[in-house]
Amino acid sequence: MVRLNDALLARISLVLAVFGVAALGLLAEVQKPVDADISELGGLDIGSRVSVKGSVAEIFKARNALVFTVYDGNFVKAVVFSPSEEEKEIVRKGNIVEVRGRLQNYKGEIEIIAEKILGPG
Amino acid sequence: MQELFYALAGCIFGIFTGIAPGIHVNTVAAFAVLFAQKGDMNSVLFIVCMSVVHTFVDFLPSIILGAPDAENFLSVLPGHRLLLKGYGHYAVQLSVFGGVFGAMFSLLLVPFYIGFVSQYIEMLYAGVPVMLALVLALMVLSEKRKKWAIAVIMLSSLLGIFVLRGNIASGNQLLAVISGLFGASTLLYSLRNKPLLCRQKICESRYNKKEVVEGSLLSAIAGGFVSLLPSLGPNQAAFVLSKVMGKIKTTKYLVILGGISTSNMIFSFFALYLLGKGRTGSAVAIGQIAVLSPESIVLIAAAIVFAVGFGAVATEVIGKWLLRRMHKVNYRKLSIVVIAVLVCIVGFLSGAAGLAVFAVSTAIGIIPQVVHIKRTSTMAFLMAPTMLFYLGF
Repeated sequence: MVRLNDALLARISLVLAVFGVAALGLLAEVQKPVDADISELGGLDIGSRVSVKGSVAEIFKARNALVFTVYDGNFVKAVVFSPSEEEKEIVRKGNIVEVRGRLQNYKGEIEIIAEKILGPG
Repeated sequence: MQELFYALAGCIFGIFTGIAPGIHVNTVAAFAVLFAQKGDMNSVLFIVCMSVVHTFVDFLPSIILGAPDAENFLSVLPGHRLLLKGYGHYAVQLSVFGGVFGAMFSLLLVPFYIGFVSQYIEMLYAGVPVMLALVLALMVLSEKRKKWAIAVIMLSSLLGIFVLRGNIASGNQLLAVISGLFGASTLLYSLRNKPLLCRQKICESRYNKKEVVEGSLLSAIAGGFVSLLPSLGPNQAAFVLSKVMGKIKTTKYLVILGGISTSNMIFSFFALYLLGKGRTGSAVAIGQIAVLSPESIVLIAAAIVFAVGFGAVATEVIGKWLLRRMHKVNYRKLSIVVIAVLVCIVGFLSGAAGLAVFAVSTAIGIIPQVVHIKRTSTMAFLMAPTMLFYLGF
């Protein structure tokens, strides 16, 4: 059995790390969310990653999830599963928020499954 | 009574996360958040006790199980050095002393900490990018193999920027990075080495009281300081202390290492209370469960005292037990099982993208071990995104 010496192992790890980091950079670029107005969401594919900005219009009670609507002239529902205290703090009625997440069709209606919520500022 | 039950359960889980190489306390804390009710103080006490006990027991695998072979003798950590001379028990006890006295000094320093935070926190935050840049520069300058150090810092920085600030799909990507950089990489690399076994002397040892008190006090101050600085942890604090103070004796260094991890963990709970931000994985998890009130922070302080006592006794008892039987442990089999568990946990919590991040992090984490540079250089994965954030990017 060939035993890797340290010098060879260091080089192999370095090459894998360089290519791996480059691939992750590419993945991050590919998965970049599309900045969209809410009215444009209907034209996008289900499952695509989007980023919408607007004010929090309504907040609904749900078990283990935070469900709210974002308004920018049009409405869209957003869902955060297991929200953190910080996210609850951001999602308050009237606050301007940026919601990043994936588009989903739920009972014939488009909604965003939020992955990140950014507050004002 | 219920609180005591959760605290005790936390202590037992702390032993588990501390002793199982590669299973991080943050992993269990992330799981605890999934199952906790919002505002549930019992879950908070569970995480507090688990995290504090973890900082004690955590030294056992690094001192005992990670026994290196004769080839990399010179690069081994201070605890290993004593283990190889048969003084593993002495190394364990020094780290426990550091933890106990470090915790005691930390709790005594809390009033000063609160005063410092309310007066100087803004000034401290303004200096974060410069401080982080200085620590990174110091890391490179302290290495003999500077090119490798620069390569590891650059790769870790890019990894952090892409994963933590980029848009890689949902899931716990931080867990994937930490498990790869510090868990799987260590275990994979250790599979190559044949542990060097040595009969251990388990007996009452003599201690330099001045060294223990000085080391613990220093560690409490350093632990408090890093608990306020984003992306800096106990290892960086110990590294900076060793550079600032010049040559530190191995025994004192072990006291400092033991003290800093416990102090940093303790202060991170107070930082969460004061600033509403968690600087350790455990504090972040607690922040996701509850908003801390003055009453809850008093309860947390009581839990800390309980966990410190439990952690010290557990580490001494388990340490002795392991040291007497270390030659019987099949480290190779244990490592393979833990790697498999890590892959499953990352896959479950971080998804397919997380597994890719985990693989890349593992490759980066192997490099410092192979080329014998300090592994703290991989912490650039947190430091670089933090610097960018504080610079306004």
